[in-house]
Amino acid sequence: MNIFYMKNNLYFLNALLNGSSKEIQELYNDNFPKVKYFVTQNKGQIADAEDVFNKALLQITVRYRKEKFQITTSFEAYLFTACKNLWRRELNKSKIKVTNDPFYEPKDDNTDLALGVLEQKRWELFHENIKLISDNCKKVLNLFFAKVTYGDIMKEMNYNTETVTRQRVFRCKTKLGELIKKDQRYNSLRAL
Amino acid sequence: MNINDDILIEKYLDNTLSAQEKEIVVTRMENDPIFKEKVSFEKQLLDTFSKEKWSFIENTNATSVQEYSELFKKEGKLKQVLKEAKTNYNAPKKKTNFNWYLYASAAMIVLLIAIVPFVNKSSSSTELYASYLNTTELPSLSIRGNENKDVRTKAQHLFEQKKYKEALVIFNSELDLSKKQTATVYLYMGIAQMEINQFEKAVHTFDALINSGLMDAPKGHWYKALLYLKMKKIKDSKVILNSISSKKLYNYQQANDLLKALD
Repeated sequence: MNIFYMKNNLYFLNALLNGSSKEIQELYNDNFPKVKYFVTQNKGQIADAEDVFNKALLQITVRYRKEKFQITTSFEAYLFTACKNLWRRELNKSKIKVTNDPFYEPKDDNTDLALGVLEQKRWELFHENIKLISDNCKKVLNLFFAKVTYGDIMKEMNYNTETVTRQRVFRCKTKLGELIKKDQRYNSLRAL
Repeated sequence: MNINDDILIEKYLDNTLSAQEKEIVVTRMENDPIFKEKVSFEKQLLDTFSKEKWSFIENTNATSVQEYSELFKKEGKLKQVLKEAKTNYNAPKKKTNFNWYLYASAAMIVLLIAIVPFVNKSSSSTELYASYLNTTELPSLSIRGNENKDVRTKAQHLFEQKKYKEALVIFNSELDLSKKQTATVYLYMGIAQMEINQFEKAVHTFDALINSGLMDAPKGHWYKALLYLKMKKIKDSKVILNSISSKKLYNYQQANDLLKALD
């Protein structure tokens, strides 16, 4: 990992662990505008952006306090991704509420934050492992996950038939599944 | 798992099975924990990699949920600091002297009447510039085997700390800028110049990148569009963004979004 990312990341992580007002204000001033813009451009209000931003910082802090996890990008990039994911989570939560999904039951704030951390951990586990499969498989799966039809995947990838395409998707998905399940982080997330 | 099970699970999650087939899957899930886990894992994959969905945790009573929940309860101090940071961020600037404030306000009203459309545009373009400038995705300056590796490392360090002036001193004094540089050097230099409002120099640097013939030369167009945005030259910025969009150059999707935001 880039040594400067590491130093910079530690600076912010320690500030969060210690609740240092000055550095946290700096984080807020430098990073919140981008999050605000993202949320308000994606069906949200400024108050939603503030909520997501605070939750992301809390989640990073608690997670780091518990397990000293490594951030492999810059802190700012990681924070922005965490915010984007939290906002996607919130939007989907409201969809569940609307459809009265039986899984949905209101949680207290701390439980909801806890669920958010574990879901973010799973998101990272899956996204880091898809980077490890072949470029061809990655392309096939990206099309599949984007709900492109087998017929269109066949054309895009120059496969002969839809059956061949299905088999290819199946093989790539199986490979990805194997990698995820082999990753030691999977054990703690398996039962969730 | 065999491919037939895979197809069955896919159709089940897509909700395209008949009522009878669905019933068979549900019964199998109830009696076969391995099959149930496969369905659950497939759902996690689909929800995680979908751009719209989110993969929620179903077992909300798991020990790890309770452990984290307890930890969040203990973060009262940080919650308070974050609340203060939000308040400070939103706080209006301090009023210094009432009379001065009154006169200044009157003067501002007169001024605003004259330049309202311009001011609105300026304010939104500043916000858009801040939102679209993403320096965290820049490639590293110091690639193994590069000449002047130490110099580049030092410059990158300063750049990441937003010490743009100092980074530029290094670029200007220690790299032979009369020779063609890598695209990354042009990008770091141009952005540093843009951030400290050395606009003419930044235009020159991005033009040098655009005309360099390097593989990453098209990135120069994107950053030049952001530069014009920062300079409040909205019309010029839009010309470049339209060109990025029509030629599908680097970041053309973001260029489309930005164009919509500028309209």
